[in-house]
Amino acid sequence: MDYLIQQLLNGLMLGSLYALIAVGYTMVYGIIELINFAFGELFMFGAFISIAMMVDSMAIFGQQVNFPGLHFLLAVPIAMAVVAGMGVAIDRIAYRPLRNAPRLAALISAIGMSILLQNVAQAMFGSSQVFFPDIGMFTSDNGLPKYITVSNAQITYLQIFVVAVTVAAMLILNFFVQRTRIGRAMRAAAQDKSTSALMGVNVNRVIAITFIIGSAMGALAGGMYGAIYHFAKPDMGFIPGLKAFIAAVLGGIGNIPGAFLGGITLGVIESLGSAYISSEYRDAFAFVILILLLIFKPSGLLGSHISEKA
Amino acid sequence: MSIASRIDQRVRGLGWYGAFVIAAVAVAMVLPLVIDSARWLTLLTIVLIYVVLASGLNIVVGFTGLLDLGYVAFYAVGGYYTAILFIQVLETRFGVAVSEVWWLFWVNLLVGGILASIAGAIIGYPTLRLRGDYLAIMTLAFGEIIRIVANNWDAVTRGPSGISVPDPAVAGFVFGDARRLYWLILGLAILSVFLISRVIRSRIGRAWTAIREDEIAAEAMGIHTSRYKLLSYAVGAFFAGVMGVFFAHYLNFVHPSNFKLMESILMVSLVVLGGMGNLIGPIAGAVLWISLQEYLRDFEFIQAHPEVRGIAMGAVLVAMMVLRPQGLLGSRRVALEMRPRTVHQSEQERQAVADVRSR
Repeated sequence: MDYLIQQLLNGLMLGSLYALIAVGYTMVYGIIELINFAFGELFMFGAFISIAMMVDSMAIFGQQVNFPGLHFLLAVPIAMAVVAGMGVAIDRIAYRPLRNAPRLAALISAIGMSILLQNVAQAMFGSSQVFFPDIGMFTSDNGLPKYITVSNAQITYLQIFVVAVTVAAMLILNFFVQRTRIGRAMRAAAQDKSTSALMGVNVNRVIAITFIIGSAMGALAGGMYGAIYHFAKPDMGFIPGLKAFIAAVLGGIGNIPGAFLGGITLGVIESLGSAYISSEYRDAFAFVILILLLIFKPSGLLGSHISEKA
Repeated sequence: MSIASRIDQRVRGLGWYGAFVIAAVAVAMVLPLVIDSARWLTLLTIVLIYVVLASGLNIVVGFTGLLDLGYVAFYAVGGYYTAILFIQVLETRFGVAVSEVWWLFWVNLLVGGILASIAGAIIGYPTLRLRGDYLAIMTLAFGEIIRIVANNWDAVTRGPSGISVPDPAVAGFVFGDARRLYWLILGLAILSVFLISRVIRSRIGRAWTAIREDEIAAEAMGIHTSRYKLLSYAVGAFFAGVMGVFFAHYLNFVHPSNFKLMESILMVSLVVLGGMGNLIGPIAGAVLWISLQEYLRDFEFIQAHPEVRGIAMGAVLVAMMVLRPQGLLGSRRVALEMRPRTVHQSEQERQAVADVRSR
C-alpha cells in the first residue's frame, strides 16, 4: 500500500513535468497544427541553462566560462526567459517561412530543428551527463531530502514543490488564455487563422507568444527535472518531448486543462507500469497508450472531435 | 521488322535519361574490377544500402507525402529476423549447421521484407483516419519500441550482446569478400530501384501522388485513400526489411545500436536532400551524403566531434525545407506543390492585381 502511494506520488511528479512540456505542444498544435518536435530540446536547454546559472563555472565548447552562481529560484526564470527567446527564434527561422506550405514541409523542418538543437547542445556541453547542483531548499543538513510522512509513505518537499508549481503555472496559464485580450486572440487564431486576421488579430504575433509560453513552460519543466534527477544531458529531452506530445494527445490536443490531465495520467500510468509490470519497458507504456488512443479515442479525454483536414 | 531495327528503335526510345541510367549501371558494375581496395568497396556497398533505403522511404515520404520517422525499425525487423532464424533457432535450438541451409538467405530476403511490410501496415493502420502527422509520431514511437525490445528481450535477441550472422552464400559460393558483396548489393539495388520505378509509374503510384497532392480531391476521384496509404507504408517498409536482411549478413552482426533513431533521421535527410517524390533524388542524396560521411569518418576533428554530423543533418533538413523543398534534384511538380501558397496563387493573378492597383 505504501509502495503504491509512493509510486502514485512519483507518477504525479513525473506527470507534472510532462504536463508542462505538453502545454507547448498543445498550444502550438492548436494554432498552427504543427508538432514542434523541438520542445523536447527546449526542455533540455532549460535544464542546462539552469545549471549554468547555478554554478560558478562550467565548460562551454570545451572552455571554462564563469557564471553567476545564482539560487535555483532565480536561475530557472532566467532559463525560462532565454529559452522563450530561443522558441521565438526557432519559429521565425524554421516554421514561419513554411506557414502556408504543405504540412509535411513544416514537420520535416521541425524534426530537423530538434536534431540540430540536440547536437548543438552536445557540442556546447559535451555528450556525457552534467551534474545538476542540489537546490538546497529541500535538503536537510545531513544531505537527505526533507519529507513529511503520510500513513508511512514519504512525500518529499521537492515532490510537493514540483506539483504545486505545475498546478500554479496551469492555473495562471488558463486564466491568461481565458480572460485576457491576448488569450482571446489566441483562441480566435486557433479556431480560424484567416478570419481572426481579418478581425485585426496579428496572427504571427499570437503564434510568437504561443511559442514564448510553450518554451518557457518547457524550460521550467527542464529546471525542475534537473532538480529532481540531478543531471542534464543533450539527449534528455527527446523521449520526454515525445511523451509530452502523447500527453497532449491524451488530454485532447489544443486544450490546456487537457494537457495537464493528460500529463498527470501518463505520468501515473508510466510510474505504476514500471513498478508493477516491467521497468525495462517503461518507455514503451506511453507508446502503447498512444496506439490505443489513436484507435479508440483520437480526440483525447477532453478534446473535441478533430476533423481529418482543417 | 528486323531485329536490328527493333533494337535500334528501342535504343532511340531510351533518350538521354535512359542512356545515362544504362551508363551509370555499367560503370557501377565494372567499378570493382578497377578499384582494388576493400575500403572503397565497403564504402560503395554502404552507399548502395542507403540508396535502397532512401528509395524505399521515398515511397512513403516523397510519393505519398507522409512522414515516416521510424524507418529504421523495419530495417531492424529484417536484420533481426534473419539473425534469429539462422542463429537462435536453427543453429542453437536445432543444431543445424548454417552452411547447410545457405539457401535460406535468399528466402529470407523476401520473408524479411514481407515481415517488415506487415509491421508497416500494423503501425500505419491506427493513423489512417487521422492527419498524416500522427504517422510521424507512431513511426517514431515504433522505432524506439523495436530498439527497446531488441535491447531487453535477451532470450531471443541476446540483448546488448547482439547476434553474429554468417556471410551470404550460394551453393558453397560465399559472398565473403568486399567485391562479391558489392556485386550482390548492386544487384539488389538495381532490382529494388527498378521495382520502385515500375510501381511509381503504375496506377498505384499515381494514386499515391494524388494523395500527396490533395487527399480530399483524391478521395473524391474515387481513390480509396486508406487502402493506398496502407499499401504505401507496406511497400516502403518492404525494402527496408530486405535491406535489413542483407545488412545483417553483410555486417555479420546485428546489434540494437545499429538501429538508432538517428539512422531514421539520416534516411529522411537523404530523401530530402536529393529530392522527395523523385526517383533519382534519394539515390543522389545517398551517394552524396553517405560517401562524404564515410570519407570524413577518418578525420580527427569528426572523430572528436561526432555531433557535427547531427548538426549538419538538422541544418540540411531545415534549410532544404525553407529554401529548396524539392531537394537538389527536385522535380518541377514537387517544387510547385511545396511552395508556400500565397493569396495570389499564380503570377498572372499577381499581375492582374498589380494592374488594378495602378489604375
